[in-house]
Amino acid sequence: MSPRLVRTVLAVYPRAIRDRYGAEVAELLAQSHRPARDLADVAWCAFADRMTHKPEAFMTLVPVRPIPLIKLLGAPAVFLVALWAVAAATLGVFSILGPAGSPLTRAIGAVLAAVVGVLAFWWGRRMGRAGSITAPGMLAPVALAVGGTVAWMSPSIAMPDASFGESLLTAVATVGCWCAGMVALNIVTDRLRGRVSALALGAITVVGGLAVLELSTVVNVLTYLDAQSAPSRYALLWYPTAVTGLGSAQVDPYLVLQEMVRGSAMWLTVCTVFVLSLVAAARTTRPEPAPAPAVASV
Amino acid sequence: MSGLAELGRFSEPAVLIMISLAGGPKHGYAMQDDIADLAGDRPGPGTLYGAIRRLEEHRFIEALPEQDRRKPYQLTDAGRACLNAELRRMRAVADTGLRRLAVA
Repeated sequence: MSPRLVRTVLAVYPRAIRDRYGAEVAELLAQSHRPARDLADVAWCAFADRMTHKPEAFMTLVPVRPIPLIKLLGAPAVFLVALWAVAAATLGVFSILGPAGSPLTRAIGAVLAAVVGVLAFWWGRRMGRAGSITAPGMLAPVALAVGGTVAWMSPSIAMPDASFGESLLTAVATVGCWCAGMVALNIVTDRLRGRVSALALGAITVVGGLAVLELSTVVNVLTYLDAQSAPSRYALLWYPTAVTGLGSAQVDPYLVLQEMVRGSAMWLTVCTVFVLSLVAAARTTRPEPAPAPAVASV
Repeated sequence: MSGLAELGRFSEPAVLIMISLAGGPKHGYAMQDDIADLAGDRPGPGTLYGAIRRLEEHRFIEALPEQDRRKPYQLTDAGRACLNAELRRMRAVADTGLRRLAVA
């Protein structure tokens, strides 16, 4: 097993645990007869310890809540299946109302996709209010990224979107970019909490979320499509065009974005809605940071 | 499960580790081999050391000085007492279950 891979996985452990047991775990991994399984075992345990370990009380046990973690890991697959069902319904059932690309079936598809988004919002809010997730601003995007990458590469639940299940590079790059963006956004909004109005914070969250989706779509397109299929001068319009179909005559004349990227863009949108609603709800269960006291002038 | 209940998903590996150490001090690799012979399944390194860490925190096992660059562990007196109580409890449950199966 590659020493570098072992070091990378061990880096997930909190420092105190890594310093104490890292060498022993590394030795067992190096001698393992089932490297993939043992590596996954270490990665899982390291991730769980990272989410629950309190560094200021190394000897204190924090109860592990595996159920919320499993839900977070499975959420991307759930959203993927839901969007797949919407796509299948739009193409199959509602095609009796009109051709697949007709305005009516597109509108019905958009409404059904919006329903998936609303359900994701509700589910995220419910999980956030339960208060059972430690560090949701980081854990939720990371868990969804891990589960999402696995779901992306699972052909059994691949979307009609052709990029699913095709390219591991595309999956890792797109989902990784999304994850990094969401973590950064959550850090920024957490620091602004209590310092700006709720309305401003909401606006920053929405704009930030759209920016993350834009960036993720650019990464998706650049790693999957060639320059001829998607000219880079329209990069900022890839996401809105892929999701809404608007402006496709100029930006996407051959409907490449619609066929190759739309599914993943919509799926990431649902994931974004889920994470932001979860984090916002989790924050309402804990008090806002108190503003700094005014210093009395002498 | 006496003191082991709060170990959650690590309670079963913890019992196996303690049974393994009841036969004498061992390092991690030897514990893996012994548990594989005992239970038919080899615990992964993450699970093994997750249980070891929690057993150390409860002072049921303790680390010994390194030998040949490997760190052996041994049962403490508290660990031996806990294991004794846990195995007696499991035996009582198993005996009841087997009796009921024989009657049915």
